[in-house]
Amino acid sequence: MSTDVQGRADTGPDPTGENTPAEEGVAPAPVPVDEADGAECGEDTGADTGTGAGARRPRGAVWQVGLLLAALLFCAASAWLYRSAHTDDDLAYSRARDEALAAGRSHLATLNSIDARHITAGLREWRDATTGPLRDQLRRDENTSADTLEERGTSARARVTDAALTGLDDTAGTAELIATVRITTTTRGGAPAADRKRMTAGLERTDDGWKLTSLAPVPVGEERR
Amino acid sequence: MRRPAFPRTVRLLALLGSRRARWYVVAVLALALAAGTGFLVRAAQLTSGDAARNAALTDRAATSRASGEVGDALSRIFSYTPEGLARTEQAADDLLAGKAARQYDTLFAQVTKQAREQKLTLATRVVDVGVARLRGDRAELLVFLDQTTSREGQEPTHAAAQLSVTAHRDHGDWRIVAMKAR
Repeated sequence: MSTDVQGRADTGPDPTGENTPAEEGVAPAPVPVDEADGAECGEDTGADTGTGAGARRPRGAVWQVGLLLAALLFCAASAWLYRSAHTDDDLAYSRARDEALAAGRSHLATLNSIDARHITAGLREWRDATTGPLRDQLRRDENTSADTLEERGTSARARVTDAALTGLDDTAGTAELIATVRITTTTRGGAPAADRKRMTAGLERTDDGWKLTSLAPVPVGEERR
Repeated sequence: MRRPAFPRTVRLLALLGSRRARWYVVAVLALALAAGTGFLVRAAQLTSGDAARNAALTDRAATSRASGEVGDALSRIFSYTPEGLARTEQAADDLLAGKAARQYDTLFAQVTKQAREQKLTLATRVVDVGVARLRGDRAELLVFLDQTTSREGQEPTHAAAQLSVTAHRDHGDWRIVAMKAR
């Protein structure tokens, strides 16, 4: 307790002690510095007052080292936990599944939508949502598609009402998906009409996330399996 | 005291006792605690998050069992012949529960009358099933169906149906508790 009082009294003229940390190890410790040290773990230093200033200082430092080690150990342990969770195969598979499904939903909506006033931009979005054969096909047909869309002047807005993956190969980076889409089309000067479609799509993982490689409606009365 | 047995160690420890050094110690402590907590929270999110608890596709056996049973249930409850209406109703009793059972009962009352009078036969075939979510005893699926309606003496007509289905596992068997046409 007495140390505490001292410590408080000493904090005022302390700068001398603060500015000479290097000397402390060799020279006999100036009391102010030592007391400032003891303020944090007062009980410890309090018990030690009898043994002298030299023994007291290392004891406080041991405490600090202990705390530091404990904190670093905690940090390392939780980093290890995080790493093992991050590299867990099952968890990686679940993540891939959710990413593929989310990307598939969004790309499916994109590919079923077009704004008649911004056809070029729309076609670019179509291309950005796809990869592989579907992208190639879209690029080949781009000019004719633009002309047809321009001529028709119909806008379409699609919303994916439900979707589920039917297959996922995490190592190959491919997935298959089924989805129901609700498409609202607006003709030039006409009233909007809604249409429901069911579709199947193939996905592939690229550097830029999952992209569609195929897209087809699922017709009635056709054996698919 | 002045010349300890391990001067270097003591000097190092004493260095830590200095005020500036203590700020470093406090900073490192705070950093380590903050980073550790961050890692721990992220790890917990990864292992117990929505993605991790969803067993759709990750548990292949459970996924194919759920999709198989639900698909089978749908094709049974949406298939009937004028003579076999009781059998369809019995199947619905076994395979449906909750809201889906009530909806189906209302629908089936109308269907029974029509089927008898017009000699209607309905055959439902599962085209595709996808399990979106599978957590414990609850599953959410999307099912594509083909339905063929035949009237006596007429050409059969085909129609597509898509259902979002919620199913519950009851004593090991999946039962449909909700259906929504898509």
